[in-house]
Amino acid sequence: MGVKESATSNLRETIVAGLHHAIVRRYGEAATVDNVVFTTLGGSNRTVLFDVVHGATRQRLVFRQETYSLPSSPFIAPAMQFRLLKIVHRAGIPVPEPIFELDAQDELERAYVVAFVDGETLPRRLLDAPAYGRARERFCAQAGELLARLHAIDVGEVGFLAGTPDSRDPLAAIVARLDAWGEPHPALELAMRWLERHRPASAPRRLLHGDFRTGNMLMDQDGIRAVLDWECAHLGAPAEEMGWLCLRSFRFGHYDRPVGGFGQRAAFYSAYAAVSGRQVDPDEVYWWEVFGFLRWAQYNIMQMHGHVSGERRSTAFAACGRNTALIEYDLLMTLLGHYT
Amino acid sequence: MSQDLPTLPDLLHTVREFVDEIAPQLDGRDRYHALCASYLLGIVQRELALGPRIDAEERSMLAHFIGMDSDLEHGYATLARAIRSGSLDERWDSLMTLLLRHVVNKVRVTKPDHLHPMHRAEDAPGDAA
Repeated sequence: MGVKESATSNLRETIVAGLHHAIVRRYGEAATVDNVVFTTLGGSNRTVLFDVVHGATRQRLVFRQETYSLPSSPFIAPAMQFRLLKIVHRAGIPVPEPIFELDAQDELERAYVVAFVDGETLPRRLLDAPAYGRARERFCAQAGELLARLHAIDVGEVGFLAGTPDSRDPLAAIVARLDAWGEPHPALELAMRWLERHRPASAPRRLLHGDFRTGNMLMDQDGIRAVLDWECAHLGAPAEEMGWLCLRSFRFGHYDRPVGGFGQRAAFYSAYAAVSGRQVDPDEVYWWEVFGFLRWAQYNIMQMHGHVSGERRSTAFAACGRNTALIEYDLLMTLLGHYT
Repeated sequence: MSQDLPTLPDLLHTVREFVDEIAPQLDGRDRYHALCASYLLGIVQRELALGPRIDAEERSMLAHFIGMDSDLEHGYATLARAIRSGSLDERWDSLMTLLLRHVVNKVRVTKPDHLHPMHRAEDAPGDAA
């Protein structure tokens, strides 16, 4: 049995002690860890907020640790995430500043620490609260520009991502994982078959965030402050990133605003085209939206598998297994043209 | 029924009411998991109420479509393999109709509110207790 995700006090003590050890190694004997908060969410990484206090300085930091490490994990390892964060941070993409990576001499493994960025990530608040009205109006233009800049990063700099299954063939990668988990899903098979028969012409490969959607962007009243959760980063077609952002599953009830529940496709596509110099092909984005449902179903099945296998059990992961049906429904309704 | 009252649906309803009552008093992580627990109990309630009828319908649908009578798990696996092999490409529209019905049947148990109105009518709203 693995670690139970409803963080027992035992686990919390181990993590706090491990953080203290890691901090003393890097900031000196007098440094302390204070104000520790274990966050509720985080489907793939454990997230712990804390202050490091050294001398007269107090800095808010975030500890991120891998919790799902089965061989079929679709996530890149924390070491790769940290390396990538340094590259995109240097390129001026808004991300939490990478601070340090934990290593073999630390008590906590497969983890790294970044600077805390204040803001809101909860989709319901971002999409509904009056305070974020201005951020909502600017979202399509900001997201288009941000992605265009991300996709402009020289792929030679991130060659270490080129060999991952999702960089080589994202559809084949999903099929392989679903097969490994073993539960038959005829509706997803139909999607796979449709996708195989309608593959778009191959596009130049770019660095993709891989999980650029409402919920993974930290925002304030002026808009996007930081892009979080880089564990799905890979090389691929830019339209993949757009299809994912527009997926119905991430509109949180605002189905008439396909771009993450914030706004309309035209504004997003034109902002992307203006900065990148490349027009967006809506048919190609549609293919990637169908792909996106398959991919989102895959993550839910993964959480189910983690739960039933005992790797990490929780009420939320149990619900993910059953919620796969909701994604299959949206997928079929989209293929039938009832949903756009 | 060999057991005394309350009935199983009543017991579930009772537990779910309690979880719903305490959830707002909890914070952060505990509140989130209490909400998830209530959601799971709702699924159990609907599966108890609808499961047998849905399973029978699914068995008959599968038998009709792939021409074999077997347990559901085996039937879904057979259907999945047939779709992947391409042997159902010529029957795409009827396959789509079958799978939509299959998925609607799952959503009726998981979260009926998620269904488009065109698929909502048949189950009465409200708890099973």
